[in-house]
Amino acid sequence: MSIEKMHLVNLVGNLPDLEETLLRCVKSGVFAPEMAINTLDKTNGFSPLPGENPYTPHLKKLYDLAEDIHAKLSREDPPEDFTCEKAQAEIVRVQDTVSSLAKEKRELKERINQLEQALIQIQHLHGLGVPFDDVFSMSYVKVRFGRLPADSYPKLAFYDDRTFFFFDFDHDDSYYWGVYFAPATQIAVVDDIFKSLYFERIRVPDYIHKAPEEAIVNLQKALEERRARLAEVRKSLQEIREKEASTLNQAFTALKAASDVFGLRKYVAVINNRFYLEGFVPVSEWKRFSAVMSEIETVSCVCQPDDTNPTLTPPTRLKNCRFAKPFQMFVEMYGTPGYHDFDPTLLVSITYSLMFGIMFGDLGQGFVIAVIGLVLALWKKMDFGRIMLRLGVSSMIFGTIYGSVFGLEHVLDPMFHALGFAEKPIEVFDGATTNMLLIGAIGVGVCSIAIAMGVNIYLGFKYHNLEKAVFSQNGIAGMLVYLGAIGAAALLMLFNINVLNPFFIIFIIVIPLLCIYFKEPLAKLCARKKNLKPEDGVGTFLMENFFEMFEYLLSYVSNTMSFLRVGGFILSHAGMMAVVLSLSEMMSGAGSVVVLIFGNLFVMCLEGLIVGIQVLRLEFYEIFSRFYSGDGKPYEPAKISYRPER
Amino acid sequence: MLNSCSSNAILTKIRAILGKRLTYADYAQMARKRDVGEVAALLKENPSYAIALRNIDEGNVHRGQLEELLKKDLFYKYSALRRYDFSGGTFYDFPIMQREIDEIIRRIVLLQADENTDFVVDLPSYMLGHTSFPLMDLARARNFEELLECVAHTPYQGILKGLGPKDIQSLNVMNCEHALYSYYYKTLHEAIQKQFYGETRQQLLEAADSEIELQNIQNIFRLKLYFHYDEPRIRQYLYPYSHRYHKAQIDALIRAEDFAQMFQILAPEENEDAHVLEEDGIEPYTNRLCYQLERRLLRFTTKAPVAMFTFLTLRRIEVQNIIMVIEGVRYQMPQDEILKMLIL
Repeated sequence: MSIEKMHLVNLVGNLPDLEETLLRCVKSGVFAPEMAINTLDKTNGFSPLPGENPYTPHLKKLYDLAEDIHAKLSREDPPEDFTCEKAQAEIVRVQDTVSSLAKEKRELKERINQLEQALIQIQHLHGLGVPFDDVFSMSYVKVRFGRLPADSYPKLAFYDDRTFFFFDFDHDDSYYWGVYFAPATQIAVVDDIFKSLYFERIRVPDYIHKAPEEAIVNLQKALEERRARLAEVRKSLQEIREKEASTLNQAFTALKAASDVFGLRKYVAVINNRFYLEGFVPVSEWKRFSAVMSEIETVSCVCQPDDTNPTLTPPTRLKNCRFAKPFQMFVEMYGTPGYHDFDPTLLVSITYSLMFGIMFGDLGQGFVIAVIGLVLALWKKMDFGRIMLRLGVSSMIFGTIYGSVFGLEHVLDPMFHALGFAEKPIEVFDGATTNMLLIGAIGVGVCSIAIAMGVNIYLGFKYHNLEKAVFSQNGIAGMLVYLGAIGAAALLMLFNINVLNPFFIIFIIVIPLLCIYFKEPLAKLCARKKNLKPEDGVGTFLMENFFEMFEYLLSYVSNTMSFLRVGGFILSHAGMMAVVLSLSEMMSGAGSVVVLIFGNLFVMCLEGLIVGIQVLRLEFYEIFSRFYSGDGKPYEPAKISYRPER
Repeated sequence: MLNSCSSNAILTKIRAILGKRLTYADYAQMARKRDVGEVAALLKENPSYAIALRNIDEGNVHRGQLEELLKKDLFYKYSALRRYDFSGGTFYDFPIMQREIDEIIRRIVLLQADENTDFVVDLPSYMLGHTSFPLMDLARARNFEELLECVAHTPYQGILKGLGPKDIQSLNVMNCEHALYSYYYKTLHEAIQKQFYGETRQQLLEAADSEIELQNIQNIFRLKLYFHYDEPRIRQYLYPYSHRYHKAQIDALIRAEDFAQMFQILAPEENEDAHVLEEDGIEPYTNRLCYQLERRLLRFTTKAPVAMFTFLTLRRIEVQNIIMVIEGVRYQMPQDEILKMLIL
């Protein structure tokens, strides 16, 4: 449960050794580079390293090639003698084999597209009523079939004085299909006008002579022929793909590694044929990293404390135990913790598992969730699978306490009897239990909020921020008011003990509330600042803080009440399963089992999802919002991404 | 009550559209394409543009046609959102007014060049019936008198008449642009001040004033470095609004001697090399500032008018980005170079 400490590492060496240095940085997997040129004084002569990435054009060629043969590029480590030069040569070789087929494929697709368009267009020319031969045989008048964008159609009115006619046969929202006629002597000018209006000409194929109906039949025949040839070309390309897949993947792996390593040059600053590179390395990895770097004789690798350069913010690498680690996903979803902040992952892992188990307690359903989580974790290596495994186990534990197995509330009774209990520990449907559950839910909320306030107080003292630690609504003052009021109410309601005496009211309620109200001037006073007067005037200060105070008090109540959902979902889960069982009992034989299975699946999917979201909401809104800012910089060590950049 | 619901509708719809906006990865994918047709095919697959481009033939599409369709889509999106405004004020008319002014300026420029047909080719016919004067009549205008007649009964007539010249050739386009845009900015400000209050007004003024201020900065750079105007003449073309920069900074900018000095005044904290920036002019830098500011405003606002104003700017920039990618692909520029030009 911590944030790993970092060393700021400076690497300085001769320029010819830069590539080897960068390669080792990447291979180490722990070096998070920083933009050196931004932190160095340019007047000292440091400059960025210029140069275009020489591997980009070859990678582009490879991506184009992969697109032509529909190959999916992925990582496949090449043998040692498979250099970038060899990769380039292999790409050229495969491209030579593919290029003629790819070209034919493109042409065929284009031709098929043209024919399909012609077919669509000619279907719109049903209204022509004249054979095409008659139209095209005119000597002094030229004719053009096609479609005009609907936006261009009104613009034809502007050309009223020109010698052409446009007749439309059909139209929709986007286009007008039709034909224009113009004198042969004027056709070039008229063509220019229509071109400027984005008229798309339909080239009526030579073999179409008669009326549109007959033309459609001929077009369909031509289309079929070309589609058959396209299928043959595709088959040939597929054969090439199967044959060359391994070579292309190896070429991709070699070139992508070289390209990504070259890409790291943007972090490098140069002076007098020497390079300068800086970045962060976790303290725990420093020895290994320095050993790797010491193998390059001319490169000096110096480690400094993380706060050496005030312009650089160290990145945050979370370090958690195996139980909590998957829950980092939720924490990072909200925002990475700051380098000096508190890592709430362990807190989240415990409270999330606990609340999920309480709200979704069922031994059978929990077991199913745990098994699905295990499968996802082992098979797909998903963090979410690991979270499901933990939630499933928690659900099983609470399911056992509730005595609930797939909604059957008394299956575990013999076990409890054998253990010496008269009945199961918690009977959800018992009226007295319901109240206990709801009060317990409030108790969970009070504890969670108090822990969040405690963390806020700790962080406030850590940063010497007295306003945050002592005077704020989540500081010591806020905690006194909150716990004091809740405690007084609980004692009065549960044990009929009234602690609301003047001493309690003044010291636990009134003074802390005044501290919250005047937190800004009090913090200034503690910091021995002279100007205590509010910036926006006293009137505004009093008015604003009055409403803020009102909001704080309201939020103490509403945030605590928000945890009632924890108890509510226990009842809702039991209620939904009761409905499933009633439906199941209404059926007979196999139908009853089917309803029970589908009912359980339905409740697991629906309620599991809702409970998961609700608990996350409680974590983010009621707990995180009290202390967590999530404005840290994620730790992203230099690495090679073996994903094609499409 | 109705107005409040309409506000929520506009805001929600804008957020939904924004959710589908193009990302850097989308632009990178587009920039890798071999021709305009392939870019069009890719855009057709994008949910944000699928409807606008559904009927195009990507094997046959023209660059200009694609650009026109994207602009038309922006206008239709604006019109669709506009339907949910029941405030009855004039604020939401601002995109139409801006487009009207742009068309008038374009007509004047083409009339001066004696080009009559070019205007109609790029005429936004999807706006016919939405403007305060007939756009087709503007296309038919052959001289200044006919142009004035076309915009009769609109405030533009008075503004253009007030510029003095009787014929098109003696009309100064810069004066004309400045006069029309001054009127536009004044009207926009008045609408904001009259219709809104509190946070909405403050955020709208922040967005509008920063746009105008960046326009002022562009004007200063352009007039100083390319036209070599002196200080009083430059001041003549500035709009009287500001947001981020103080008067002293603007004065220093006008008095600066070269691009490097001007850029230092504008952004002293920037590490970028002024000589590199100088090649492309100041526009990419100011456009980026505008994009970042309005994106921030849009992300955090809960006010429909602010969302509408900033959304239209961001969407316009997105369309510009697409057009830049199309141009780059057409001229076979390397992917990296294309991506560098984008405003993100």
